[in-house]
Amino acid sequence: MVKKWKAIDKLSFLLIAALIKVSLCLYEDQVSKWDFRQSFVGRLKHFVAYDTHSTPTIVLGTEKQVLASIYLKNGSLNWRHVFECGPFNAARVEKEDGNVITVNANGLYVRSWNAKSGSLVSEYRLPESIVTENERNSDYFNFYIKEKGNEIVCAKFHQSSNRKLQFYVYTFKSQNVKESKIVAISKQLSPKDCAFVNENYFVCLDVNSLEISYVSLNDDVKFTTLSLSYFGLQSSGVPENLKLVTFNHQPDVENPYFAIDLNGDGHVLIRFENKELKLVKIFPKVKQLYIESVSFTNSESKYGLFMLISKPESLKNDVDESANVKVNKDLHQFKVAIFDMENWQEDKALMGHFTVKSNSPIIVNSMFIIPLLQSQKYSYKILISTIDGSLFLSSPQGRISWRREEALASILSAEILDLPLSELDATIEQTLGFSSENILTQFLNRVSSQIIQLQTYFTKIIADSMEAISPSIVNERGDENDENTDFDGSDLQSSGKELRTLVRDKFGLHKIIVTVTEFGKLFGIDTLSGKIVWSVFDTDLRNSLRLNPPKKLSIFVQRTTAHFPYSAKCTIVSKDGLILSFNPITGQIEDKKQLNTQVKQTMLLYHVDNTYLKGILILDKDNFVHLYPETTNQVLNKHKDTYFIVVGEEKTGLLEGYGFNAFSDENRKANRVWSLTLPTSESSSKSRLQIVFKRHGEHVHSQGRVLGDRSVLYKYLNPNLMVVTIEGTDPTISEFGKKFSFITLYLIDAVTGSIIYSTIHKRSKGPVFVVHSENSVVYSYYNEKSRRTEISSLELYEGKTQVNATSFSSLHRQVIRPFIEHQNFIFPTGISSMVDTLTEKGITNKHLLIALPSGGILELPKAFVDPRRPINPTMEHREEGLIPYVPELPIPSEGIINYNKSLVSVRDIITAPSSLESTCLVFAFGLDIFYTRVTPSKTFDILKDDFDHWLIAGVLLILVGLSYLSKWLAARKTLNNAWK
Amino acid sequence: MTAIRYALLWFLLLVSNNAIRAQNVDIESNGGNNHTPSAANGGHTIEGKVSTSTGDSNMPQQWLASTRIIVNYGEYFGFLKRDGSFEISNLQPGSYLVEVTHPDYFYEPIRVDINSKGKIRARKVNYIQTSSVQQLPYPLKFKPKGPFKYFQIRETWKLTDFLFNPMVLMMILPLLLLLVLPKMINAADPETQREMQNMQMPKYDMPELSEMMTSFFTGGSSSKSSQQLALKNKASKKKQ
Repeated sequence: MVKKWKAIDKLSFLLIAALIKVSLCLYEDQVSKWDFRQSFVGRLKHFVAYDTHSTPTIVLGTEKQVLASIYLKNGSLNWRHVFECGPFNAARVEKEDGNVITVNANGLYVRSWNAKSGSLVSEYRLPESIVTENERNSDYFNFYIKEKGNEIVCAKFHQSSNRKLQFYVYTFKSQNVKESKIVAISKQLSPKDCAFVNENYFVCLDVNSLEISYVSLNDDVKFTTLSLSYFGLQSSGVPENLKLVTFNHQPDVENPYFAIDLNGDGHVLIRFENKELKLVKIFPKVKQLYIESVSFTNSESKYGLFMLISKPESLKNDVDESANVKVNKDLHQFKVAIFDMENWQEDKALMGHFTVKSNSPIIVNSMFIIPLLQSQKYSYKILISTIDGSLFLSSPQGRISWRREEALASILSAEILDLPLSELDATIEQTLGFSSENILTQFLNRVSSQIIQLQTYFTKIIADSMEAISPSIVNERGDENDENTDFDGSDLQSSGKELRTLVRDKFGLHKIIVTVTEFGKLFGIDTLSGKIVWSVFDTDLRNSLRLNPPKKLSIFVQRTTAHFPYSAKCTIVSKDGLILSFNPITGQIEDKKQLNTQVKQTMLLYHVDNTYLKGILILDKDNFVHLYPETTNQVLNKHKDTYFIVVGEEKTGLLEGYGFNAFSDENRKANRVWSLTLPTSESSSKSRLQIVFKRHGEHVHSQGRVLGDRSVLYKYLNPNLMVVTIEGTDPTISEFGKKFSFITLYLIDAVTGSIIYSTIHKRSKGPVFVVHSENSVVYSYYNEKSRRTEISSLELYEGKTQVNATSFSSLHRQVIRPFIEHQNFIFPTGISSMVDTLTEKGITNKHLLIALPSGGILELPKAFVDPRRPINPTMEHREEGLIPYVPELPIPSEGIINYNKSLVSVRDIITAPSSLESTCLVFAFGLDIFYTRVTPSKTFDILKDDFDHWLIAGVLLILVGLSYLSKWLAARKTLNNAWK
Repeated sequence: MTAIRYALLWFLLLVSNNAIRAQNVDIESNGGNNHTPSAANGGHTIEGKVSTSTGDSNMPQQWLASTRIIVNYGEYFGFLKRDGSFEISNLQPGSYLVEVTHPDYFYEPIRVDINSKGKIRARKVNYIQTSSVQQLPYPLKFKPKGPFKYFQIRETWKLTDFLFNPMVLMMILPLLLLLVLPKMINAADPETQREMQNMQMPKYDMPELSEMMTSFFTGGSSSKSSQQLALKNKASKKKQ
């Protein structure tokens, strides 16, 4: 049996390999020709170490559970490690041998790393008495790593009630644990409000009662509580977001410093003196404080306090400007002042000053100082991490060495959009618009527009030549940009030239990727260069996304760029009703609106209004309909009978379909048409519901499939069909007390709520990825029994006759039950995301794009997951071109479209058509971003990129030359003959 | 008889395997004080070693940075030490799939089973017959199976390819016949020439190919005159 399988396996593998070779695969010289990858690490959480020797690097820990080493020179990655799930608690460099110690997953993993190469030195684990496997993701812990690196101090809030706290000291060498006694703590305090000042002091700040509690670990472990008013600090109104700030470097271990951040209003520096708190100084308007050793100009090496001030004038300026965004960005001025910590004298000679260009507010999250000793002269660099995830390094003289946009490591969703027409094409469009007028005016319009075209052409030439004469104006900082084009260093700035070149190309390959990130920052990325064209940070969006983190956030494309002179418009709607509308080409925020209700479901209308704008239908939690913009009301009113919306509730498995046939200006309520409760697991928190529709406006090229006997099998093309998958656990079946999980899949008509097909996979778990297009559904899950990933494929057919070829109605075709082909396949590795390719007219073959945990993106022809693949192939099957059924799907390395540009933790892939039927654009995002184009049926509509123009031209020239030569020779011959 | 022998062999194998494993466990429990967190400390540990394509004892920096060890498709990770060894700790009893990924080289994944007593067994991954056991050595050893072939090889233009193209051959042969053969005949001795003349070929019934070509290229009027010239020439030749 085994042998037989193997034989079949080999045979089919050969066949498959041959098939794939034909269809896919790049040439080696095409590397980086159409694709780009940018690697990120995430927003900075721990600044761990700096090494300013031979090749200066810094080591960072981030919110994405990444430990990374970055070159100080250009901001590119040296190495990067992604940790397992669980919080990244602490990281610190050992003083003696320079190893980096990290604590993550609440102490389940304590690792020591070589900072230079990124190799692991040793690995430990805190004993089970402190942390158990179940507490992996909990937030009961605070950690502190001693500067010597031999001990870890841990504070654990006992989960029974948050009122009890215990301290542990873990020593690496002996693996010993010292426990303190359990202390009582105020009820309101959680680990978030507390921090270790150093190994001896633990401080908590109660934001509500404005009290500081501290405990000294050296002697009797007991909390002392002080009110902030004890320091003479009075707050007017409600104080918000006070934050504890601790320092890694302390001038005196016995009497350490810490600070309280007054949420942008300034900092209060406090010090322990003889085990008592003492207010040292209040720094109003100071954004950040940092302590680092300094060699002052007029005294020996000492510790200095660095403080960051951003100029209030520029901030005011910024508020004004953000209302009417211009192409030229505003300058944000920053100042770094240094105080000697002994006599509180400011050292003016070391003062730093720099400016940052940005059109949105810059809120600094943290600042770090990297001291440099260059030829005996003390200098330093300023590393700044902002709240919107950008990280940049500046010198005190104001030169920004590099800037990383780490927000791109946490993209929520993305869209690939067409660029607008060039000025020249736009004027042609304009003349075509006036077709309703009489012939004479049309003629005049035509002539005038052509004159305008000529004029624009000449002005363009003149402008270009002017630019060529004075290139310095445009590429003011181009040299910095060029250094790090390979990675992420794409600077924010987009010069006027770039904006002007953002026009549509002939084949629609030059597009713009619009992304929304978790931090409320929006980006526009050029697909050709991979550079950031624009970026906008919106604080309202940030707060909305932070309070109600969505799993997925759609970008609604309300109007594309196809409707000149109307500009394109994209809109996002957050869960708590924030509507943000922006121009995807310029990044300008056009409208911001807050609905005072929770959003239940959103939908883009199919019909456009007279400005070609598609409205967004928002269903709030009371089933009231809101439309954005309000004016699209009439559109919905006109077509209200054809609109339906589905709402799924994850916890209960309740599906509801709503209709709008009673919708009017007075009655804005949607009425329920049907409802359905699908079985989920008992412990409702575990279940996961997913609803997948077909793509909005998908083109289906062929209505049926031609079989081997030349008859046609018609596809069941129900546009209202939705796929509902539920991941749950089954309480009734269990083995060894372990509950089995299951996955169910339903095909439901969204208009009527009728179930067309359902299937269950027992002992299977998610994540489930569904690809739903035309008449097929492909989904993947993990089979726990066989311990393998499986891909299941469904195809729906009407049969050999078609009921109504011109239109489909869910209401009138109740009688038809499609017949369904269903087949399972084994996928020999895991899946982190799965989508299908998309082309303009749907003529080109469909391929699946599957992101693998190993970092590759596999392009798999959909023919491999065809459920009609026969086990015993006949002549007819061969005629039809079906591949014989083999359970295991291949992963040929030729099908990996990102070759050795591996991607870490891919979150999603999006695809978009280009104007060429053969080509599909692909953008994958996760910790890295990757863009490329794929041609599922090869590039049949344009010449190949390796087409040898020179050879063809050369051959033609030679042919012409030879014919003239032979003419001359022939003439000479006849002449010679004549003279004989 | 043979069946018994096989059974015996199998038994021996099992025993020896157990012995090896027992040794490993012993080593672990002895060295538990040093680095390896033992099973008593909550969770088990999978150990292994990754080697490079060149077999260096010290991994090059590039290799270290780009190799990842992924367990169960990203549930756990392993990290390489300088010498290429790794440990995956905090594992509960169960079955784990250990994959080593490198962007340029392929490593075969290994399935590792940990039973409730903490015994560890490594076996080959078989997706079709999931229960088949093909034991592999433990601690795990990962060797690169070879580089990935991501790219197609581009066809290069070669002169020989061009020349041996059947179309080109079809063009060249008639050309040879046209150009070389008449010359060979011309070069022959006057006797054959005379013979040729004696054959009394009907001379002017068919227009000569070369003349047709010349007339085609040189154009109407001049060709006529040249033809006439040629005719005269031949006529005079005859007279001679």
